[in-house]
Amino acid sequence: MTHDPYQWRRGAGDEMTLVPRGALFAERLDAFLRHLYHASGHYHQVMAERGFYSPFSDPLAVFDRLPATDKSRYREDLQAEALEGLSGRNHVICDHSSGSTAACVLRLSTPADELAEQAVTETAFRMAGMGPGDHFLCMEVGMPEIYDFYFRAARALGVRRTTFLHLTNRYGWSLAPFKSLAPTVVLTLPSLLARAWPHLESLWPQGASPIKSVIHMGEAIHPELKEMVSRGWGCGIYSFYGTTEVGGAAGECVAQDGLHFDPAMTLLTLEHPTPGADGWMRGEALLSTLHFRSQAVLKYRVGDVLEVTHAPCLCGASTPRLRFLRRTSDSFIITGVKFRFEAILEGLREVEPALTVAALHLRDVGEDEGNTLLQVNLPDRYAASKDDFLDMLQHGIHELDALFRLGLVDFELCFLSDQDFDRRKIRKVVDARRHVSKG
Amino acid sequence: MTALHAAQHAFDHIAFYRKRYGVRPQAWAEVPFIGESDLHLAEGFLECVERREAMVWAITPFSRHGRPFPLAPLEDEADQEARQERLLLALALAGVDPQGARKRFLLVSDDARGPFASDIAAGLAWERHQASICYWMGDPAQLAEDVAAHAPDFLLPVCPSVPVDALPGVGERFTVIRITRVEEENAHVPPGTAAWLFFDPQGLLAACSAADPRWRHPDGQYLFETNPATGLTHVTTLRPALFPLIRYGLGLALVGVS
Repeated sequence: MTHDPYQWRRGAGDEMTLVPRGALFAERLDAFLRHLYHASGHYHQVMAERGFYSPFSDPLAVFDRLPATDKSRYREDLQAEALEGLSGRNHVICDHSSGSTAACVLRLSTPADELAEQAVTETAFRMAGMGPGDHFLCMEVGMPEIYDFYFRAARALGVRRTTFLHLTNRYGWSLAPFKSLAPTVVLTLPSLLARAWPHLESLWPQGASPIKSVIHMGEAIHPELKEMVSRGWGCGIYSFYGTTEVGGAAGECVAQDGLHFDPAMTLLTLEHPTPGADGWMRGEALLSTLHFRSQAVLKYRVGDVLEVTHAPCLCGASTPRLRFLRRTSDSFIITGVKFRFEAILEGLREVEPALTVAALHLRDVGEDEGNTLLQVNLPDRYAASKDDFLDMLQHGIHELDALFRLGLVDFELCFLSDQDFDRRKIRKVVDARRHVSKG
Repeated sequence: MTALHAAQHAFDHIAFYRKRYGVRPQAWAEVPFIGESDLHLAEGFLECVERREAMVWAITPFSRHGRPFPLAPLEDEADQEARQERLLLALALAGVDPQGARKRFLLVSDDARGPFASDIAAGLAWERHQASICYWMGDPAQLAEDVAAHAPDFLLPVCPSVPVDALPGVGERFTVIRITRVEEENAHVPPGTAAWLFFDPQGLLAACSAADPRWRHPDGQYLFETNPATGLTHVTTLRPALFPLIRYGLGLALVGVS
């Protein structure tokens, strides 16, 4: 009889958490909760309100009864607390939280937090087949510091050659070095790969490229694109799941049936869980970062619906697996940056506070037209504010302004009558771009 | 703003300067020259900033293993715009026409300087140039291969030990921009070389062209002075800054700056 090292644990609300069995995990959870209790005013209050005071006699029971943390708490409480906690330090690492709101949200961390995340990253890269002798290339339109971090994880696996290839809005021009660089492992974002692929697919004969693995992150890959790249380069395609707030959390193995994660580092709770096929449980994901100390989160609502199982994997790894199903909110992605519909509406409301409806349409356009056209449909009673709306889209919404500046998005405003909005029952986000996943 | 206004504003709004000055300075001569040892008065970087909620970034240190400046220097959006203005001047001094075609930049970093190199790359990308990074791992042949593949217009050796002068095509197919630092106490560059000068709490501080070795910075951003008691150079941030430096010592006598 095999021993299953994990078990589902039902919480106080309609939620279940997949926890490792045994005293070691209980000790780890206890240390995490005690840290939050003492380091975070927000979590201290949350615990005290429920009658929990450190030291905790039963940390699992405490965890069961604690509520989810949403993005507004992250922005309004946890970032400010982290800044206070790190004030005496001379090295603070900043990461922008992608597209959560119309304003800038930071994740602040220390080198120790970075190393904890590096441990997760090394595992994910190892599962994707990375090792000594590889040339690891990351390509992106921005955020080189994120990839510099990934290069450190690669070096820990023995990789000696690492390259950050900066993509500009001129994909063909910026990809010119790619063939000579001849990487063996490539990490990028699916929405970038979709734009880059026409310039890359014929560099080598089909199935005979030097590339053995493509790791994609930040978003799901479109099945057609995955098939084209896999066949064209003759390589494996591996997903790496995470968010800025919780860091890298899960990586795909050769079995290609879900992404492995370590609940002793990233504890996963499913809200409103329902059984899916083959014993997988499905629900909205709440993640807890047991491996972080600065700006750590407990049951953080990342906005994803996942499927999770702790059934054995064909690859032999004992850790549980997750599958991404969909986002919980209407959202879209441009070059890997996620934008919630509500964040765009929030920005537009700064121009017209009474605005309640909008419809966003995205489509591919040429490089000279901005690569992606975001058409914003608004009620025609606001037509007089067209220039102000355009200015807000171009310069007023965090990260969207940067993409506009870099020539990666352009905007078009259309004004419709209220009747048109009602009659058409317009969807909030319509994405007509080729090979761009909805998640 | 004048230097005195900057000092008075710092006294009025920032705990560290209030502690350090004791009384509000009424004349520039009353403002003391300070250095990193004075920062012991601040309990943390939050005592050195005016509006913590305006923070959008912390300047990346030269080495991720440590920095000489005792506190993390925070930036707001205006600071970032000012830093970008300095980069634009530095690009112009390196011969990059702001209205001209975009250029290919290749930064050569190592493991420790990766975040620092990334910060420079992000600034170059903002101007729509291509800013790729390769990593020096002690293998000249690999470096030559990387440089040949990228075919850059400009090469920036962020890692001091990179043997750029031995690379094929240096000065012909690509131009080298030297990266130098105030903290090295050797902010000198070979004659005829464009260079960018960095200072830990400010990031890019100044730049010089290949034709003129004097360090230049955008008008209105800094006042550089020599402390008559020590002969060392001190800097004052003249524009509103989240983490202002008022008569703050660079720790060396910087030649060719005004």
